[in-house]
Amino acid sequence: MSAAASIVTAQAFVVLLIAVVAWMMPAMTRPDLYFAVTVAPAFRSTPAGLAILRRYRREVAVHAAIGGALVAGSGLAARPLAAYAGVAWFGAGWFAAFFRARGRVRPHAAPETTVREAATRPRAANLPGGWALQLGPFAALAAAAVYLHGRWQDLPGRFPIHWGFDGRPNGWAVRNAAGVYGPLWIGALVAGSMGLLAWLLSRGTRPIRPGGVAGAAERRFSRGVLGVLVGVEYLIGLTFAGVALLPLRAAGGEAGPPGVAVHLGVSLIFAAAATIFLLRMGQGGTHLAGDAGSEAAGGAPVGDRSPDRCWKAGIFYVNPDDPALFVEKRFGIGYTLNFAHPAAWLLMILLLLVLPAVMFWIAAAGS
Amino acid sequence: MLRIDLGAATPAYEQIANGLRALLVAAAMAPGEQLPTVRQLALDLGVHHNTVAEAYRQLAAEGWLDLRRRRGAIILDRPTPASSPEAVADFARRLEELIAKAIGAGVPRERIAAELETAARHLRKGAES
Repeated sequence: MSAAASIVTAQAFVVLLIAVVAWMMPAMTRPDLYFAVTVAPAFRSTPAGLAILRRYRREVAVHAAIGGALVAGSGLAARPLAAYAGVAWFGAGWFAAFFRARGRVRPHAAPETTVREAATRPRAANLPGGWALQLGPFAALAAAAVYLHGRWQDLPGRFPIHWGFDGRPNGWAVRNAAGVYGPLWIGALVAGSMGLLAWLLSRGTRPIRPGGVAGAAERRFSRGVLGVLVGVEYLIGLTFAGVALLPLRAAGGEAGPPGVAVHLGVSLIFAAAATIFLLRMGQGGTHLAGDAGSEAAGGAPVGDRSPDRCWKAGIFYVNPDDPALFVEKRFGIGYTLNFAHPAAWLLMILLLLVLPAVMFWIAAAGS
Repeated sequence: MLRIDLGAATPAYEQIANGLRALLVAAAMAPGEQLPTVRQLALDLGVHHNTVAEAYRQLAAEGWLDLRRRRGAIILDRPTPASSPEAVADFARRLEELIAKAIGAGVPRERIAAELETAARHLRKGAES
């Protein structure tokens, strides 16, 4: 499969996967959170609640169809980059559908509960597999470094690192430390960032239900999310270890682009498997616990124990009174930052500015 | 399980101290056990860490906890102090105030009496064991 066809196929898969997730998402949230608004758990089953859901899903289907058509059109017109427009259209359309549904739910919002619960035993904040499992991706990168060091003399003085859609190389690196080991450094930085994220999540997230069936399900969900992050670390480590070995292809006389189908396939299967795994548990493990624990003492809906007013557009959580760095997403699976926490901005700067800058510098030093 | 109400008139640190004290008196936690760290409990309850620290300090001053840096709060084997007439009078006064507050909030007197009888039964059971 050509690189262009791979891109179009991958974008079509992405649109399909996101469409399925978007369709199912309202059913994945906690029973007393409906389109990011705290409601009585029974609201989503009322005629008003069902009407909001039907309208949301109609809008999702329309935007998925338009996005899919754009992707298909880009393939037929042999303009693979236009496939990204299809994904972008669907992403924007999904957000718009969610935002409108949230507006329809807000008049039915339940009063927030001010009750907070906590376990009276210390909580373990370990990563799945402990620190030993964290070493795997870095071991793969280190092994590639040792191998490249041993075959240094076999490496050509100049080798291709980027290819156009026509299969011709259009980016080169030289045989120096940055050019040869650069991908390994980048892989280590990115995998390390995922490890840091997982560690911060394990320590900086507030449980919503600390005890009982709901609490146990919530802990399983949390471990699941951390497990997915560790899986991403491994995927990144192995990917960049493989990328670092590409110069040896050039040494063997192969100048064409490396095959991406296998890597793309593994990545997409991992993404799909992780998505299905988390969707089956439901946000916060709610599908494991059923409706257990959806009400606080006094009968008020618990939601996620954060005020509705602190959720901007239902997506961004900003609460300076909350010491939690991460909270459960209200629409989606997983966690999001408390943007009022100073560490949230440090993390964003690290991941969105410092990390890309260092990666760019490494790449430039080796070209 | 510790439960507080951030919307209640009672300060959060007092609710935390009262809740933990009730668990300690009921022997729900044994001497030598460790409580969550200040940071963890503050995170779980959604309060400032100083709020939890104040509650822990109060309980440490009463002899319930041993606070050590990096070891967290350890539950002590606290001997029951001899009761004083002042403590008994203070308890009676607070109970009267609590009952008056409950009546003012509309709780039926029969219900209040039933709750007091239940509490009395638990107290007698605890005294016997």
